[in-house]
Amino acid sequence: MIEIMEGNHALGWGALEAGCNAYCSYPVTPQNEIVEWFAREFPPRGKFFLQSTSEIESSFLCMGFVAGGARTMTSTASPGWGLYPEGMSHIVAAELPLVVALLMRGGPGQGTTRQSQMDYTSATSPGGQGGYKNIVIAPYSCQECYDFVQLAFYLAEKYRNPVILLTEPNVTRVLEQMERRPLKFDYPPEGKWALGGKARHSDGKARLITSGYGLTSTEEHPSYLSYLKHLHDKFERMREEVRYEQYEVEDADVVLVAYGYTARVSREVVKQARAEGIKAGLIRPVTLWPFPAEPISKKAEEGAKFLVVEDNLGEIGGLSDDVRLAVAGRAEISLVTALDRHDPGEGGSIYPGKVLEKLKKIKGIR
Amino acid sequence: MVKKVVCGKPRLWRYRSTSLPFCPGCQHGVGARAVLETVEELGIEGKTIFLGGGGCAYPLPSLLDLDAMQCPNGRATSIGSAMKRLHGGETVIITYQDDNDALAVGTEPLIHAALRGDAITVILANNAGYGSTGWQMASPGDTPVPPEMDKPNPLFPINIMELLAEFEGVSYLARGTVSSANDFEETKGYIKTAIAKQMAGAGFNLVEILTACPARWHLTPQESLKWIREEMVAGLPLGEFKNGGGN
Repeated sequence: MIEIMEGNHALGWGALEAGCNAYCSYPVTPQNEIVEWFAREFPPRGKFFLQSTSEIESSFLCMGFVAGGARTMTSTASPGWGLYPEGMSHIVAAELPLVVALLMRGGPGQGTTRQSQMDYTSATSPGGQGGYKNIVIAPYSCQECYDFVQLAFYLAEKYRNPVILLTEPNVTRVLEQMERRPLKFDYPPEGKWALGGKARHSDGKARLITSGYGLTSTEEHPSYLSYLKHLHDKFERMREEVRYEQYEVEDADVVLVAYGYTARVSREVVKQARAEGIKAGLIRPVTLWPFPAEPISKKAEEGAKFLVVEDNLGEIGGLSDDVRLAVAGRAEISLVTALDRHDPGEGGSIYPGKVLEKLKKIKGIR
Repeated sequence: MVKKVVCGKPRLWRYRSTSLPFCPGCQHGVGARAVLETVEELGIEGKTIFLGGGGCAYPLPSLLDLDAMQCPNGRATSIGSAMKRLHGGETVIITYQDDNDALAVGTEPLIHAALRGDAITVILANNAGYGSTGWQMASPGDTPVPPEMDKPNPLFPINIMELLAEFEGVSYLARGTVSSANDFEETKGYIKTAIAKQMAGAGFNLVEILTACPARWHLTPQESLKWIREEMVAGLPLGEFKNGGGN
């Protein structure tokens, strides 16, 4: 059944479809619609909703729920995300699954309460202590919010590692057509790690959860090095989850690279450019980590030029960093950034006009 | 003739070496023992989750024959609150945190778990300072404390009894020591009452144990116990501070 829905609610319905059982969050704009959805829909279903006293507490309430075996989700926006890294690092270290919806707003600092794409780096290169990775998935429609949250729960349990859905209000506040469709995933069998009191376990044996494998030796990880090797191998396996979409790329001599709302803008730009005879295409990373370097590298090898469209200060990093790494100096890279927004106020966004303008400049068309 | 065991380590200890990984005279081992004996006597080991904290007592959860977790510093109460909600009244949640864990970095989750009336039992081992990181003193609030290498901390952290007593969600608060056999038994009695209240769903509770840290205090174990009796108890008096229903 086709419905009209906003992405914030699709994230909730998708989590419900995936069997999510617990949700903790601290209110912060612009993701309060998600908090409200869970507050409304979870308790009547006998599921757990807990509003925390800070985003630090959110991360550790989540850690408690997942360590107890509950399929758990949290959501936050950029200023709240600044408080999560401590918990995220411990959750990764203890190998627990968690789904995080991170809605980007303008920064740095308190910034704005409106959309941006300024947390690419803080999501894909986590700021918590030690070296670790999270899978980062960027939906660009209401339907993808619904579908990808299901994918996120599956990947989080497959790898026992947090998965981040990175998005922004220009995706989640838009009302659009979608269908609530269950996706089938081959979940791993229930592991023997969740705590509940040892009498609950079929073998009756006590279990230990720790994020300090260098301090605590276990049967599974007798030494710190064996643990590090295990993490390393897991992060390498996670690279296989790379996902991306290509649009009109085959014969393109200029390739736009964008995710989230700017990918939808870029898709429109490709259509307009093609109508004017410009061979433009779009590579849209769906997973931001692992990053789809291979299709970008291939086009660089073929001599295409690149235009990265991202609503941030692209010169100091973000998606443009990963594109630069993939291109490895073989092609020219231009940027459309937050400085190209249509409006100087906090509500400004990147519109197709500016992108097309820059695309024509690259092609030498006036 | 009937044989009676009068001495031995709790069966819930599962460390293999002959000693615990604590300094000579440290009372984390005795404090934890009071908890373990109580869990054994109540017959609840199958449904107990032991959540340890940061600092010197970090190894504890890995030494127990209980479902256990080595929680990040200050975060055991958040983790316990979530687990209690998830597993319900049948499961017993015990956190074991020291003062630099629960009364410094962990004050926010501790206070809010108490405010929410989450039915968990916090064992607060207060040794008025930081052991594993060196000589640092407990967080005394707004009074700057110069590092003094040769004597114990004259200032104590938050008096958590006074702070939590007024919260409706708090069912039981007590403070004891484990400095003598009598003190040990009395403190065990507090822990037993606290866990019984948790099992009755009565709300949040906390038992503070004043524990010696001779290495940090630069006192002998004997002098440390004397210092607890004469100095520490003057600032942090012993006894039950709340014994109510909670919410």
